[in-house]
Amino acid sequence: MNTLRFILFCILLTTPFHIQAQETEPAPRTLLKTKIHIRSEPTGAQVFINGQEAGYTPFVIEKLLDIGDKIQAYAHGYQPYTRTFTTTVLADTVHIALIRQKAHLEIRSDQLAALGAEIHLRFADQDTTITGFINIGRGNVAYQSDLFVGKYRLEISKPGFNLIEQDLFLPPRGKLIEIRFTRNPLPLTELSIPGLVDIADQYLAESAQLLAAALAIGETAPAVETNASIRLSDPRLTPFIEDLKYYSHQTRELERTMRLMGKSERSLLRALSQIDVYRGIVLGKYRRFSEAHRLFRESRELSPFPIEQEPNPLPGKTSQRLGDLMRFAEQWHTHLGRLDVNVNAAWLAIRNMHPNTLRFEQVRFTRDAPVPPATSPREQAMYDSLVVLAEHILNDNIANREQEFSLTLPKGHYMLKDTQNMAIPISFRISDAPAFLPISPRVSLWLPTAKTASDTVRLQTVVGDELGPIVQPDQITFGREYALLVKMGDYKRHRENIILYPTGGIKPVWPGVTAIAATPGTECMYYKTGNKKLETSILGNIQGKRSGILKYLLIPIVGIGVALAL
Amino acid sequence: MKKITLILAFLILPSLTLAQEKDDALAYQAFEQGRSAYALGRYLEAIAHFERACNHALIFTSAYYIWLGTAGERAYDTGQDAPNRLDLLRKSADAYRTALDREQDPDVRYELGRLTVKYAMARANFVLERENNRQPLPLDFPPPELRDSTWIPTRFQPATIDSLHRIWHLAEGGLRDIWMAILGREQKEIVYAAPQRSSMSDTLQAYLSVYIENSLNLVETAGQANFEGIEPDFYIPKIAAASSRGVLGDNPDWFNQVLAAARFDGGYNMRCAIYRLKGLRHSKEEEANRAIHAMQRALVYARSDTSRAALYLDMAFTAYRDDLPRAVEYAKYAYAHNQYEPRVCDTYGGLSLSLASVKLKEGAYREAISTIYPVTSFGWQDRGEALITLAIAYFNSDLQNVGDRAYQAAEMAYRIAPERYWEEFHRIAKSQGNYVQARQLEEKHSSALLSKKQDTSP
Repeated sequence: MNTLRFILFCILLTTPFHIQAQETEPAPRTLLKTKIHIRSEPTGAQVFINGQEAGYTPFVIEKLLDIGDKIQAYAHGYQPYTRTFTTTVLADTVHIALIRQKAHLEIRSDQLAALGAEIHLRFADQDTTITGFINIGRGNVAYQSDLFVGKYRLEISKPGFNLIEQDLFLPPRGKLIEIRFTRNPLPLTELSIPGLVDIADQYLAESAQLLAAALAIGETAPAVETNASIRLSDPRLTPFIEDLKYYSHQTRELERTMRLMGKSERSLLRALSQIDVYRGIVLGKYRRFSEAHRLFRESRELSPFPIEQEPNPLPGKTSQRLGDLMRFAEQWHTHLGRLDVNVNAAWLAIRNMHPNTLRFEQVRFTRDAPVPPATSPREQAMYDSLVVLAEHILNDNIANREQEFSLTLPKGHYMLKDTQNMAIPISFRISDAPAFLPISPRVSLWLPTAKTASDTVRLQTVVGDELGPIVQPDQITFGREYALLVKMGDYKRHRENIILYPTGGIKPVWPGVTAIAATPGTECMYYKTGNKKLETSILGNIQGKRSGILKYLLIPIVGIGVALAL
Repeated sequence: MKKITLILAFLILPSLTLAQEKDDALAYQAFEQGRSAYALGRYLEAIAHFERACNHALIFTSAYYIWLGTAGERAYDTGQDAPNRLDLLRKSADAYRTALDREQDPDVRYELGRLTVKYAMARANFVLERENNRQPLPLDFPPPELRDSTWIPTRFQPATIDSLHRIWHLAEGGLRDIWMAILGREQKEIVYAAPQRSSMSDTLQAYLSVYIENSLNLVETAGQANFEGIEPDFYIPKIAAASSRGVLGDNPDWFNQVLAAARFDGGYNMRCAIYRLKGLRHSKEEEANRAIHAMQRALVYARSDTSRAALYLDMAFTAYRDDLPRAVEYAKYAYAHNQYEPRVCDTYGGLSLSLASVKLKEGAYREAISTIYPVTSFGWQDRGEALITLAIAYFNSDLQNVGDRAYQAAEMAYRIAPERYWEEFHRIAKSQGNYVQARQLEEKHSSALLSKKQDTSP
């Protein structure tokens, strides 16, 4: 019973609603909006609905947007917006999100100065700045970018040039801008002196790091390199020296600028002199003591403070002075002397001379020893290495066809020798005064041998109109005039001026001088087999050799013949 | 014969003179043609036009050379299969060199340096690749399974070494050009034009990062030739100098990281640092074998035990992803080299503990004991856990007379963290028949036991 009552109650409750729903028959229509707000980002877009202009956002339309209705929106600098509704619009607002249009901007210049110029584009609509630069790692000679269409403030800057500033409007079709820089060298009086000093300090600090790294080489050798004792000429130090040289050059430029400004800054001079000293120290490690000494001397003159008293830049050695690092190179420099080398042009011209290695042989037992003997094996090894280094430099220079250059060698007596015995051996002494070393290819000229004291076979150098010292026939060089004097038994008396030239080379044509082609390393048989060979007297045979039997046969035969004739 | 020579001379001479004719209009015409070819992506054609422009031009020659250089680089970059690609790059660098001769500008010098290094590196890779293809396998070449972990120094032909020396020289020259450009630009920015926006221009920052990247690239490439003819340590002060400038810019972290990496192993060992960097990069790219191979090369050059330990640690982290026993082995080596660094101890202990846990789960108790036992002898953050793991392993193993050891290990763990390990200790004490100790433990930790029981009762 109760259940029946409950059912009836429910029916009564639901009935009025049901009836009401039946009365409002076009229910779906009443739920749809007929007032729709059209908004867009950004505002102000022109909106067309089904091709009819509807207005500028934001606005309200009192119209139903149903399936198939087409809405279009246009705003300057934005991509056109089109949407066709696939369902009936139930919301009271339609949002249109417009996307910015992009266009191509190209900034270029025919000027070289445009390279590395910085470009700053400040977009007017938003608080954004676009930066870029011309030709940085992209292989572009122009700045190219796709940017939003709109207004920009363009700034192109490069230090040392006038700033280019302009308002730019980038249209949808893109834009090409040609720029032209004008130089703007600031007057010297406006230059930043603290800036100059800061840069010099930075260069000094970086040079100190380079010095520390260069000195660490070889000292902390990696495990795989066992031979880390005395190195000869260490090419690993070359990049350090080159870099320090560049730092020195840059600092010198700063100092020069400062001088042009009529000012002098002690810290700048100090930095410059210290960088030079660092370079000298690395050169000292490289065994190039004379160059190191020259740099030290220049630095002493330049530095406003005693350079030896400057702090040691190596990490952990602040209690020491810079002079401690300089001492090694300075001490060794006192043991060295200069040798000026002059290489004969023929030596450089003849190809088979190049593989020939020249070497210095130390003459240890001489009457006077200008250098005290080495006190330790390490010192002796250093001496030997310096000699070998000089040999390397000598041979390298000859390979590079250098005709005149200087070397440094430890003081003492030396002989110049070569592996194939093709150079004229010469002894020289290195002392405080520079020594001179001519290097010439040796030519052996065949000449008859003097047998008695009255015989004369002599080769002498010709110096002007006079004759110079006597030269051995196996030590003649090319390109020098010699006088040959022969006066002996079977030969006709002979006096001739000669000059030797390499076979295949240009024959010198000197008046009154016989040019003889010769090859170093092989004996020159000119006087034995040549056209102008030394003539023997009638008693000598044609080869120039005496023939005793013939002489003793000829004299009686001639005597008998004369007697018969008489 | 003479007549033929004369006729030939008459034929050739006019054409030669025509090619050398100087006319700016002709030059500009060629330049315009080149630019349109360049815009269309026909770089080889553009090169020909720009070359013509350079030959004809009297003024603006430097600009024409710049375009020639740029087109050359583009042609090199785009023409992957083109023959003689390297020549294009060389021509490009030569063009920039001529441009620099015309106008001494740091930015032109930068481009010259960048292209020179690019050419040198491409050339070095070409030579090294050719040489490696030619390398015969030595008789004692290791079996394939050991190849990743064994370093065999390559023996190069003397001619190859000579050409590599020239290449390094060229690359170093290029890097020096970039460095000169950096100093020149910096000097101009600081002295001649006060900075308007920040302490350093974007251009200079780009120069610095390019310099550092190329330096590292050069050293790494030279490593393939056993650093023959190059001094890698030179680049440590150079990278330090570049980084000290770079940290003033917008991206200081990168410069700091690079500097820290270059100063590995005492700050004077670039050989070691570069292989470590290479290893870390491979590790990041998830190429574990290559990463470990590179780090083993770094170990060859490492000087200090601290660095060796750090390298073994890196190797352990790399191997951890797919080979836990190997990782433990590396961590063990790290510990052998440096026992005083907590990081090394923690890593060795942690990895051993992980491996021992795996072995425990597998039921391989003896292996678990041998893995975990060494790390219980020194102090590290989870030593208690290691001790208790050891105790459990002893307890469960089939070894005879190890009950005492299990008890001792559990007792030590209990001393380290009583609240944490008292239950295990209690269990082991009971099993060993030490009921007095068990009872004491129960009394001491009864409150914890009660609360635990209450927690678990519902």
